Amino acid sequence: MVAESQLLLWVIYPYVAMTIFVVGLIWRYDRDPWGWTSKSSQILERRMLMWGSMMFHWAFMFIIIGHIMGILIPVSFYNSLGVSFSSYHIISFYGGSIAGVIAVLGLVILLARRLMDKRVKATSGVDDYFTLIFLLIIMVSGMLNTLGYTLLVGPYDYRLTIGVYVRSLILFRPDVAVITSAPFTYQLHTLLGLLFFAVLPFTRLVHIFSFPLPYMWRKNIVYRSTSKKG
Amino acid sequence: MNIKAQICMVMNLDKCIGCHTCSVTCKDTWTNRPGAEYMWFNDVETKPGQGYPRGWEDQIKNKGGWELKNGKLKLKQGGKLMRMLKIFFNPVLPTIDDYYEPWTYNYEQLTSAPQGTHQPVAKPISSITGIGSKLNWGPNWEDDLAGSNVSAPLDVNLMGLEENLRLEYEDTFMFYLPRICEHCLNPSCVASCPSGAIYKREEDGIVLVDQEACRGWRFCISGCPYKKVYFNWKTHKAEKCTFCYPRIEAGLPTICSETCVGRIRYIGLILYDADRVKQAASVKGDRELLSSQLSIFLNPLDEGIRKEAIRNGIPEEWIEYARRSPIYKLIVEWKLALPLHPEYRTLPMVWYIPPISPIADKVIQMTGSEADIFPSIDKLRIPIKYLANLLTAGDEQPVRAVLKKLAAIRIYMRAISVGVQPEWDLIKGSGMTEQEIKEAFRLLSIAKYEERFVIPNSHKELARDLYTDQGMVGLPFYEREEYAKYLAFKGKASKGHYPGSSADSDAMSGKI
Repeated sequence: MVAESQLLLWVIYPYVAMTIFVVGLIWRYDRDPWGWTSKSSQILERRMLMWGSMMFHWAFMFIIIGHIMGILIPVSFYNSLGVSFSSYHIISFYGGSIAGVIAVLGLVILLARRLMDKRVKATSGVDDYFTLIFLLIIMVSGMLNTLGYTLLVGPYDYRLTIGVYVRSLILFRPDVAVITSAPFTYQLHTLLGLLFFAVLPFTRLVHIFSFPLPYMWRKNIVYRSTSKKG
Repeated sequence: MNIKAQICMVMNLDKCIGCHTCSVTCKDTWTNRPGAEYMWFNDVETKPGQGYPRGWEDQIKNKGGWELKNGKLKLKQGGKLMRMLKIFFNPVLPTIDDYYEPWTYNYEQLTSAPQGTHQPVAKPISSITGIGSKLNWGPNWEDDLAGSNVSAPLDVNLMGLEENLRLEYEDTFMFYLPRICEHCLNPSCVASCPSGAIYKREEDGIVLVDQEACRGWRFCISGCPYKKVYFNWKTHKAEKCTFCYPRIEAGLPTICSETCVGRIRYIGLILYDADRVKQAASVKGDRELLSSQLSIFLNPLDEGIRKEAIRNGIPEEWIEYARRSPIYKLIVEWKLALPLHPEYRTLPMVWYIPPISPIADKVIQMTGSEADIFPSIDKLRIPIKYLANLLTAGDEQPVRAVLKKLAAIRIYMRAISVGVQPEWDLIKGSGMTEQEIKEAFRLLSIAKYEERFVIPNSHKELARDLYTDQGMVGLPFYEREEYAKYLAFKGKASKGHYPGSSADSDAMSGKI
């Protein structure tokens, strides 16, 4: 029998977060198309943005790939390829640490830019600061695991707990026991990660979903008709 | 053949007095709001000079427009994949300093300053930061060559000119260049937009930014070689000249044209073959672009073209307007107008008649005889090479031909009005017939309102979804309440309540 607090934390909270994520995105897309942008401020300041934005975004891409590798792909897949935990851990540790440090540094530069540059500061809203600080907190909590836990405690195969738990959530058969057995820092990052999804629709982060892939196969000149149904 | 109609403009630089009325009325109409203060959909530059934004013509630095790579037309700022890799930081995007940091003045200081020995001064304050700002550039910073000894040497159009011809005080030359969006046939901003938010209107070729679809990726701004797409720092979306489409749709000229005191602007239709746009923009030499662009314009008087145009869905009324178009005469028939920087390969659709006045006067003074004008056209005050660098990718021949025609018009009309025999050899040498000269004189000098502006009504009242396509308008909402009203209206409209409801249209036109 699962304790009520555990049920709240590991079953109800995740589904509430994901519901807010899905419904929030649809609501935002429908209700606020004018506000759906990447909120670029490059025109106001370019030097610090170049470093901060490039470092953060590229590292973030690798971090997403890392999370897919560690959480969505089951251990059995790696086993079938003959990848042992020690070799997986080397990739995960070094790849994750490098990407994580670059992303955190990028965020720090972006935050410093927002606070230091007169023009960027004057045009910043709560949303901008909140998004940056929130991302920084999540990234640091992730680094507590990748760097902190590994160096202080030792290698931990999160694929066997976090990975199993997240996939159980996706399949609507939440496995609470497996997540409660994970170390606290890993649990913390999981909870913050879920919060990230709940918060995302209400921040500028929605631009992630506008990454213009269809552009790759679109024709160059776009015509639109005002009289015919396009 | 795929015939499309394009609404386009010709500006007669011969008559521009640089009064900035076009800029001011345009700003009052479109960009007089937060985030858009620095945008001038229309600006008037003094040439030679770097212009606004500073150095916009330097495509080595800006990488705007297209280039021919291994015989293929490519965006200068890189292919799609290369640009996707630069989406987090666009290396060729101008900053606000290249335009200017918008400013207002601390007017309160004038009345609230404590008594002192000096007059109080209203200091400039930045409209972005609200604190004092240093002014070091602006949309008309080089007005009438002000400070051009410092800034003008960097004008790329001076390349290829003899050193001593450039900016020596005695040889100084200048003219005005009013600029709006070119509403190109092959727009590089449209091709640059990853979101597909910028589009060319099928009906009249006006290029607009869909504010609901724009995601602020900024490539249109660097992609446009004319730097006529702007980034609103408040809404974080791109905005540009709309060719005053609400007026155009009603058959009225743009606000810049309507208020032009020199009557230098002409608006009308051109029919062109959209299937041949890419081919025309891909010709090998930069100097072939003028003739290749001319080759895709279609003669509206041709009965075959008329039938084909109707088959392509162009209303008969529009073809009638195309037949009376002043643009077709100026660009195709008389070949008096030339495109701005055709070498950008965007096939721009705002063309210019090069200025002659300061030239001819000097020549006549020099030689005392009109007959000497043609041989002397190369010794004019505004170097032909400069005009050629601006209008014909450096090819002097078309510029010389236009100047000869403009001179011939003057010589003929002067002879008529003072009652002497026109010098027929000169007039024949210009390549214009007597009839054409009379017509051109009427269009250029008398410049009647209804002859300058031949704009068909778009009959928007017959359009299927006038209100549901509201997002395509190209300008953002600022106030939350207005936006809410718009959304409520859109919701109603999509449920089919809108057609013919006068109450609804009042709400739309009056409030939102």
